[in-house]
Amino acid sequence: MVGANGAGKTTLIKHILGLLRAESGTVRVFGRDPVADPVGVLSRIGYVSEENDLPGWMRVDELIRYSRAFYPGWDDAYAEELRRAFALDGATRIRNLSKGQKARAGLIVALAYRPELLVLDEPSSGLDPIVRRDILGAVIRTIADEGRTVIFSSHLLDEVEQVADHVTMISNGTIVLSAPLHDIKESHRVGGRVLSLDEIFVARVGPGQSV
Amino acid sequence: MHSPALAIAGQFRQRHRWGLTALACYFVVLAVVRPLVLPGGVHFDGPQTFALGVVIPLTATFMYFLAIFSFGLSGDVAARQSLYPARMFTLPLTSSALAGWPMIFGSAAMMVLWLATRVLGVWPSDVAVPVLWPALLAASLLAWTQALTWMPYPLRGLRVIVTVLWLATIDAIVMVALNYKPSEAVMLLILAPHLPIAYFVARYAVARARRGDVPDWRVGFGRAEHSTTAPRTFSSAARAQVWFEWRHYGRSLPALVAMVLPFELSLLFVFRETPAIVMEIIVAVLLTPPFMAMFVAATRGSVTSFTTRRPMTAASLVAAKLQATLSSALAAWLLVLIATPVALMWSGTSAVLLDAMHRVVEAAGTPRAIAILWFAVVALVASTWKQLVQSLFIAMSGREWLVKASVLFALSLLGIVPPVAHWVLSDHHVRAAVWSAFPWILAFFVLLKTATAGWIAVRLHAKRILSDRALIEFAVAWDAIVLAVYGLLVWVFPNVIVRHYFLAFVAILAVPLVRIAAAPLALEANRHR
Repeated sequence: MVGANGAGKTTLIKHILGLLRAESGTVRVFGRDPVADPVGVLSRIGYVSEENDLPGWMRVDELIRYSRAFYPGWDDAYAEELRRAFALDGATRIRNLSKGQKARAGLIVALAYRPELLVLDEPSSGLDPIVRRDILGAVIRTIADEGRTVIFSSHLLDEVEQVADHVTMISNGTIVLSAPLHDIKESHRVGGRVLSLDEIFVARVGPGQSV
Repeated sequence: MHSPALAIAGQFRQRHRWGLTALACYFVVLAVVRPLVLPGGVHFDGPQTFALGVVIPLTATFMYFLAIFSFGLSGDVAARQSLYPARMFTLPLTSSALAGWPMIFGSAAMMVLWLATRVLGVWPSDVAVPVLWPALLAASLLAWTQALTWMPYPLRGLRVIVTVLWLATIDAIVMVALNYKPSEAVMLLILAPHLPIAYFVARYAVARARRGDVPDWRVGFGRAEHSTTAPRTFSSAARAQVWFEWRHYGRSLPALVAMVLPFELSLLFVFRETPAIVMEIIVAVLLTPPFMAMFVAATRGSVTSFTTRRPMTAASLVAAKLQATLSSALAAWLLVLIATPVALMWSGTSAVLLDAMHRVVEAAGTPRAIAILWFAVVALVASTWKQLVQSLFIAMSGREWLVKASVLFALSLLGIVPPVAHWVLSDHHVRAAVWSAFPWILAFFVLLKTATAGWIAVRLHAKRILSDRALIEFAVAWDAIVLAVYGLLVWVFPNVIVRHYFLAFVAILAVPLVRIAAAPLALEANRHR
């Protein structure tokens, strides 16, 4: 899911999580209304946001133990594997972690119960290439190894090109383009050259373009 | 802003303008009450009204100033890191200015508080009220609180211990000095060095915190500091959420009470020769946990986006908060119930309390006196919990204007209720009129409460926030508690003293219902805006 700042990506994600009530229309996730049934929906979604809001006073171990209580499908071995892979010290408080480490901690508690839907709201924003690689690796693993769905919102269109099967462009709260990535690229050729997603994005939602 | 001093002053004014406005209103009320009421022959200097009109607002404002000028309202008091806001470290100011200006503003505010209360408050005629040294004592206690809370510490929680012990030490020094009945000048000499010394400590603390120098003794205390407080596994999501609430919010109230108690109990030594004031101080101490709970609930009951994403119902999230607040209230009262008897014995004022209890035994008989004592203790603990939970719906609504308006309203009540109560109690005709209308007034509030509760129950049911069974269980539990309170009141106060219907009204109004029931509704509205 791509779009300019303020396009409505985060708003849409908040609707998916049930954090906003639709003024018109309906929202259904797994066939359920996330506002009416937050337990039924949130227990099946993993979520990582750009604005990492993990409680700073918690230690990494405490965050893992606390989060585990909410998800019956929590996989201790997988959580520990991720913690070791991300080189996070369990005794460190969240507030003492770097931005990249906080993103990794958020990723652990979003992945360890193997959610049916993983929602990532600009998770790589402002992070170094190594952390971005970890996040993309987690996305690819979730899709490829376990066949689950990932909604990935990002400004970094080269990352989107690496992992997306389906791309949706949003502008001013409206979907301006939504199709499989392959179809989008095939339908945007100039003189036989396939445009990059960056170029397609600018052409679709850049200055002077009407929705 | 034309200077750093004005910029820093602007921060305090902007962030706390409503509280400061309420304080100004209180002083205006005091200033109006004194000249208007006293010449009319009304005695406003009795111990009871003195406590309501002067001691409680003075203590409350002292605590409020401690919190705002040490930046204690916006930080983790137990953390190793300095409580000085990190955002201010990037200002183009020296560490001396960063430490000095808040200290100057705080000291000035404390001195104005004392002097205004000294001039405007109506003091008991049998108490010689000092002019200046209490102002300097208050400023010194604030300055040391600032210095010690801005200091980075090598271990978590050490800040609270060091601050409490040092403030208690200063109080003890003052109390010992007062034993020798010193002059005002001597007291000023004793207290004068505190401000400059506290300033140098504060400047060192800010400079150290500014360069990120946080000492770390955790290697030596490795096991304790690194050990997590979370159990290895939580038996349920509800248990995990209760732990979360306790760890994040629950410890604030006991910590604040622990910081304030030494100051309050030290007054026992100052006024030990005046039994009436000793009783008022005891009353003030006993009212401290519920009073502090008002502020804790308003500022700490908020719900973060992290919490709203927990896969729990709004009712379960509220239930976790209710359980954690109960633990918080019990911990705060444990401190009061241990510290107060020790202070009473140490100051030699325990006889005052024992005399009062003997009078109750003589008037009511031993069984009823014991029942009254237990009822009073339970009622105080319950009222603390009630203060913590009855504002939850405001904090959980996520509306900042509602939070600030509620704090302003509470402070306004403190300024308005004492003079109105005094007016009612002191005027025979007004008292008679109010007393004859009192059952109707109570009946109106009972009707209002039950009607609102009914409306909330309908909304909870319609929005499926609470199941039918949970609603019925809640209603039955509330009824049972009201009946128990009513039964106890009927036994303690026989029909000849107070009518039973009056006691029924009191029981219905005393047991919280509406605001607790409104909390899940508010959270639901905040969670899905």
